[in-house]
Amino acid sequence: MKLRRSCLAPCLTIAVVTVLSTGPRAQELDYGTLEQVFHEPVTTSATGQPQRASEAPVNMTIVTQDDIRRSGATTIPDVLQYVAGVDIRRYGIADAEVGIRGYNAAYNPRLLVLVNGRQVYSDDYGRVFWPTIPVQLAEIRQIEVIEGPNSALYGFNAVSGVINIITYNPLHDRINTVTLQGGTQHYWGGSAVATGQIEDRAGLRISVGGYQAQDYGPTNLSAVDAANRQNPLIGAFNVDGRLQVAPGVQAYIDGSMSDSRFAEMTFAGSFETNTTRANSIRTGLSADTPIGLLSVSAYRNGQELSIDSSAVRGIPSWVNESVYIVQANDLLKLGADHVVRVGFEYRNSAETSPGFIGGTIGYQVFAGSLMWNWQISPSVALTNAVRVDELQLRYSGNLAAGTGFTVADYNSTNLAVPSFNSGLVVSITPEDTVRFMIARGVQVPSLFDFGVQIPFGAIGPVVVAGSPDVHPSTVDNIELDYDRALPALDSGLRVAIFAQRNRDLISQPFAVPPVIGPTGLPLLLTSNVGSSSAAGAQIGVKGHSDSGFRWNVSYAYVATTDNTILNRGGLITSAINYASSAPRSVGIAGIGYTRNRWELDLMGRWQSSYQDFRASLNNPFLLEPVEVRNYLTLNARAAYRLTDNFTVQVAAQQFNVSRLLQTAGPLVERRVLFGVTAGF
Amino acid sequence: MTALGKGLLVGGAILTPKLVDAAVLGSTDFGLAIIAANANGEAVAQSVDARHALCVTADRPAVQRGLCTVAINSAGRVDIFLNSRVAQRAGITFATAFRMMVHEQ
Repeated sequence: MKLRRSCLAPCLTIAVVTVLSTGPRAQELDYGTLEQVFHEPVTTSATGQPQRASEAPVNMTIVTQDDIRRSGATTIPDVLQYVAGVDIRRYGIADAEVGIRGYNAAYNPRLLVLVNGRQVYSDDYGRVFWPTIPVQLAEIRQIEVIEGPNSALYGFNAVSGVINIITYNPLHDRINTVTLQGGTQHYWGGSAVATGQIEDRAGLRISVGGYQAQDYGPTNLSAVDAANRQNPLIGAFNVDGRLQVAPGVQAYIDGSMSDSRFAEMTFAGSFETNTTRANSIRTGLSADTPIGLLSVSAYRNGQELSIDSSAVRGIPSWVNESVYIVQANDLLKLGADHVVRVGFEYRNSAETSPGFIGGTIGYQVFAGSLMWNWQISPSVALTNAVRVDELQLRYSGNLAAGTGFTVADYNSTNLAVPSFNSGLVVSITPEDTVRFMIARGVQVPSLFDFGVQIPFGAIGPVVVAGSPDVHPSTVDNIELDYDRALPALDSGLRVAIFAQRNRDLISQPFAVPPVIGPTGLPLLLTSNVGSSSAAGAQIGVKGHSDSGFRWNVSYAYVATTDNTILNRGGLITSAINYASSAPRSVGIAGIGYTRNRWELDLMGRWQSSYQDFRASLNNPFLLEPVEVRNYLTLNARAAYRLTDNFTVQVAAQQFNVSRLLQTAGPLVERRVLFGVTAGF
Repeated sequence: MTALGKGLLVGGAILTPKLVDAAVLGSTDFGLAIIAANANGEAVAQSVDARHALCVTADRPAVQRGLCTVAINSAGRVDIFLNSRVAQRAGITFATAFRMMVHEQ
């Protein structure tokens, strides 16, 4: 009965640090120490309490900094392509759509993406501008991928899943690195991350980075789309400061700016070039008190979007958006076996656009949540969480004539939206863990869904409008997971099966069948369009050996059926065609080897066929299908450490084929990137 | 003891290990005691309590019996067990987040 030597120092650190009256408390214990103690990644995001990943009551995959570095990727979606259950559509070097368990589409509005708990998706359409996320890959500690609806645990927009990006904590982690990369497609990019610390008292991390490139050639695109696409130019700056105010009390402030221009595939199946200027400022405080771990934070996200596309020329095509969020939580341990989190959130979102909104659409939301974790026995834990969002809609401006709605209709719209998550985690043996989860997630209509206003004649002989009557979409999910540690192989196995049902799917107005409005004008109106069901399974093994080898193999399957009013009568108007718009099967495999100064990795991803859509050349309101056949991509990376602080690398993406049809966008091209990284 | 080398850096302090016979623990000044599996007993527990020290061991039954504060099982899956009554007896208060990561009794 001995303490394992590899555990002794970190275990004692954990134990000692948490009782020193003058030292930092456990809530500020860094992820690195906790990982050393428990020999697996640790998360605080699922329930608010620190948990090892295998004990979280959700299906969570953690992508570590080592995984990120070894992937050779230059963007977050390219990192995520190796997670089972994640679907990536690559519409350009900068533009990608990320979906979880199917349900992917251009402008995918079903994903909650966070950076250290701050939302980085846009309330405008509920979508993610991935290139504007102001984080450099080198400063990410881990990316947590949570599959399935998790609105009650994570909040707004956690419909298909959650991508939670955790950066290094400048109070504990000293990251100083400069990376430069260049390669094919005239790609040039770089990043710099610097950290300053006052020992155990304060830390500040600053990062800056960006890239430019010549986007994939438009050989299979229409002349209109080719003309609408501009090459990507991306830049971002971020600052993250933490202060140990007193034992057990930590304050933080962070801010960011990003400036990006890139071509993006729209829900209408055509390309536009978006110039986006985004910024954020956040401050918060956490304190370990006799009444629990209290935390409060407040932040503002701002975004100025300018759309350049021939489809909207003649319309003022800019959109300004701001969201203010205040969150307060108390995480309390009651006795030996119960943890309770009480949460409150206030949200105020507004979007102004004279061309698309006719004024300003916004809402304020008051949300309350309650999480209860019950450790029934040392090996059985039950987590229940409920959340209720009370949404109050508001509009000011000039509504498009012909919808029948008045400003009073908007300003009297209130929605109460409940959601829940329930998870039972059973550690059958030290090697075997089973999770059973049921959940109801909620997709609240986006600001665009509520408020778009395009008058008759602006883009065609039709009124296009949002609706204050559209309902939130709900998704009910049931899931069974099994994790098996394979210590003899230094590996872990995960199996998951799930089924879900989506009700009241929300469709943006361009995609619904036209109706004749109350004034006799043809009308396209945001609507609830039906339901969809999905069932699937995943299996994966990941491991490593002391000799320096590492490997992973996974397979994900999802089958989806739709029951909607869309795309009837042979006319395709909507990309909501989930039954065929995501691959049913995805297989992923990787092998790597580290020896002395070399780090070598080879990764492969195969996916079955699916159907994407592009705008019809004959009618801009119609789509035409694009069959994407099954394909295999192989990526490789080789890195050599010249000195302890200086590494050179070469990464090849899709090296097995020079051009590949992956979406209805341009053919994705083989890329080769050379890079140097210096650490200080 | 060799695993700790010349000391364990915790925050800004270095904890220096010292091998002590359980029989003379009562006359020794210390803030942390790592108790060998067969050394846990009432006398050791009283010495640890008297100094408001943290007691850590690999002997989980000793923690269950109230003879030590924290047991760390590091064979296979790592688990930490905390006896809060012993902690209370020694006047030790653990941070809330730590209590959420361990098995508490």
